[in-house]
Amino acid sequence: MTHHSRMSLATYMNTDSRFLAQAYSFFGILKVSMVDCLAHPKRILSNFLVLFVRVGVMFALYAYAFKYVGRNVNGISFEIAIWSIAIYFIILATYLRYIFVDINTDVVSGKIETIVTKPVNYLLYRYALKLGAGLGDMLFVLIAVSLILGLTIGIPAGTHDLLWVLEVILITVLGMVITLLMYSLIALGSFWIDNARPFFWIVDKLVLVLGGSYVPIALFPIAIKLFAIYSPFGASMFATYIFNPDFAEKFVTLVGVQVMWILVFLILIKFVFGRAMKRLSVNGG
Amino acid sequence: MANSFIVEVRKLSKEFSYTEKISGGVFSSFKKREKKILKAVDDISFNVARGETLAFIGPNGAGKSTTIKMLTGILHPSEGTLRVAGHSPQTEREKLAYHIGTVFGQRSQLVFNLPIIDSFELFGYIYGIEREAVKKKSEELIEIFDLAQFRDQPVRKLSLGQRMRSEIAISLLHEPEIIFLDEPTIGLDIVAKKNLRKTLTNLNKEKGTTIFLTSHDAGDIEALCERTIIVNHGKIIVDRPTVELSNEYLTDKYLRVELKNKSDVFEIPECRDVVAEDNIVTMKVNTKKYPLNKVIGKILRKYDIKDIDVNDAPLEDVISHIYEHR
Amino acid sequence: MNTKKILEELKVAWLISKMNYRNEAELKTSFMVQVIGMVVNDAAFLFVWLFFFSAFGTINNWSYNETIALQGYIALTFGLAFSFGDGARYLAERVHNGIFDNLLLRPKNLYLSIVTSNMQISALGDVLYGLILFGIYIFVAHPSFLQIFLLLTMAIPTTLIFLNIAIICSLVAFFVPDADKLSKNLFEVFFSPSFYPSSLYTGAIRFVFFFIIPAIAIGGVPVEIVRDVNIPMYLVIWALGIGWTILASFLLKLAVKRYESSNLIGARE
Repeated sequence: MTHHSRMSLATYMNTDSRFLAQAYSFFGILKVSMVDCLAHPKRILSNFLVLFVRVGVMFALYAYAFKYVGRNVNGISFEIAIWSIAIYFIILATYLRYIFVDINTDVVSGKIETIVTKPVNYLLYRYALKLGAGLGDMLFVLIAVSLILGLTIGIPAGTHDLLWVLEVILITVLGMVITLLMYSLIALGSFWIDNARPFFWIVDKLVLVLGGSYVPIALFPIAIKLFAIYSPFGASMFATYIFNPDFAEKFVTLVGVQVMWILVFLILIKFVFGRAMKRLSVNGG
Repeated sequence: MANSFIVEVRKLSKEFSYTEKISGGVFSSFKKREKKILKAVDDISFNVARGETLAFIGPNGAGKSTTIKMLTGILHPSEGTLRVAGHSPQTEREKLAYHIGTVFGQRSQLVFNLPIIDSFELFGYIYGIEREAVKKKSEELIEIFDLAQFRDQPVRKLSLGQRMRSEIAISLLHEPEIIFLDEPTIGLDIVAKKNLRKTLTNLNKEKGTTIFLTSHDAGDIEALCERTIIVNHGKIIVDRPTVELSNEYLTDKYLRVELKNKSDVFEIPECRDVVAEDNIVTMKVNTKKYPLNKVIGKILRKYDIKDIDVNDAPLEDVISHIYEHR
Repeated sequence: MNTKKILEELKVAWLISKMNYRNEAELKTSFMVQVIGMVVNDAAFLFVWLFFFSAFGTINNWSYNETIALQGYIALTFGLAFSFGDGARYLAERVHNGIFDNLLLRPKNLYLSIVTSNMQISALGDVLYGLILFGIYIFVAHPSFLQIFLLLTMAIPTTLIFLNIAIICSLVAFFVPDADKLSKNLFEVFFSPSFYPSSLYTGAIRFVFFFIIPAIAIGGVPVEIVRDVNIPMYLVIWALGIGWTILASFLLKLAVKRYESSNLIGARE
């Protein structure tokens, strides 16, 4: 009896295009993941609670500090500083950096083998799941924090038109891509080393320091500021810069740096992932 | 026209190289270590016809998991060729993926936090299946595998039996031509096992899905598989229809005798492994050495019996006999 | 429970901790990597604060020196609490996974069983880091012997506060399903405000963060006590340490009464 009624991609797309197949899978998985995330308000609220306390304490600290010095610091006002920090933590609420844990666990437990037998690219699968959940987590936090800050300290002065909104979206998305690529690159180290966690800590802390977490990049000493801007760690968090007075002026440079790092990481990942899959297929991982 | 063989394996071998770990001392990792080679699969060849149900078994470390991994494209062979559903698992892994289903009992392919119904949707996207078709097929599979009562529950909340049913159901969403099952009934209770086996048998009969099973459970093999391949030390040692295994490899018959008198001491030299509990006595008889009718005759003449049962050696014993002696 | 029994229980807890340690230290390379990795990990915050104070300068008698002492203090007490006592943080996960039962079945004091049930090697890195920072603080701030004495001895009640807050946060798992993440987040709510200069907190907020969510009791206030040689507050810290221990034990008893095993879901990922 010959096999009949195949429900494969060929039936749906009527094309042999691998790119389309992977894209369809990617966005579909992202959608399922995001919808599922939004169906768990308890978890979203719980994450918001932590963020609220973190940003709340920073709010108090900077209000205190700015009041004490009685002026703008490095051309940055209190409002800009707080929005910058809030944005950092809003993006952090996507938990994209935990792609490291997902991949690391897959490799260590051997679960990666169950995904490799599927027609979807392993990394795309993981990215889609993470992004979907991350966007779901971030959405609520973005709205809530923006409302709270908007109502308490207002939006910092400047032009915030449609062009600015598009620039914000672009720079944020590019930053998230860098985060995913960077953390998954170190996670792939699990194929060769027993414990890749320390590398996670190092990268994570570099992002914390250079990404403008507790101190906005604009407040850094000049040498560190330059290093932050041209490093992938800072580039992953350029969205924190959107309310700075010179954002429009620096936009092209910032996006240029991000695109450069994305290309570098893509090349590295293609190479490393290829070697990792080869290792899996030769040695069973 | 499709090839009648869905799996073709020729002279397949797999070697693993590993370095022996030297223990002790912080700097032990800097000491020179010896490289060793392990031949997990050693020159095996076999074909599987479309629609066949095959048990591919062996003791731990025999090379069966390694073989399955090669067939599904996870591992590349050191030597030999293989084709599954008309594709080379090594060079066409992604294309092959559309044609095969895999269920690894010890490792879940599901996303733990997703409800079952959403998992179906997810897999629909993975396999590029149209939304409507996914919905229809999901409902069908939910019914067949009796998943309705927990369809909205996340996978992590399911019991093992429920999870295994879900795993198998989802692996069939894209109607694969062949499904590879690695220990699918592990940890399940008897009823769950029975139901699962029945479902898989029906699947094979109705859809012609080829079943390639690895299991330590003889019940799975007996119930599901027409054919059994046994591997040990990387080589195929037996390749037979399942029903013939006992006839060929273990000619023991298992007798159960119920005595009328409890006090009778059971002594028949042709019987071995005699176990007496109250008035029930069980024993084994090697029928190649001692014709069964003669042994039974002897028992009937010597003892007053209420009842006597004669059974084939359980498949489990047959298999362990083969493991031990080949 | 009489004194002899308490000492016996503590001895067993100590033996279990030693065994946990030996177990972890077997993999020497991994051990070293985790400890040193954590030191590097913690040091990142020093840079962040350095940037902050270089932008703003000293704020209301709180300078970078005080921040060094604060960071060191929190790292040290966190490390002491959760190197050998990580079971306190791991409790919610245990309950969630249905593996709390084996602790209940032990013929030993439950509180100590919980605390010693897990060990976190990387937390030893926090201890090391804390001690390094203390060394730096002593070098730059030249505290007196009394101040050093106050600083070091307050590590005991603050470690207790850490442990007990972790246990109390975990207790939500006994009342709310899927509370593993929630309990971690609750602990974060307590922990996050501790890193900031305590002079930041005044009035009602200070009261809340000292007595109710004792974030500043574990670092900020001890640093102030050392800076100002405030003996009455030193005694208050000790009282808090003991008080939180009693409260956590009491709440644990209540929670266990309500305890129900959750499903153990077969093969774990």
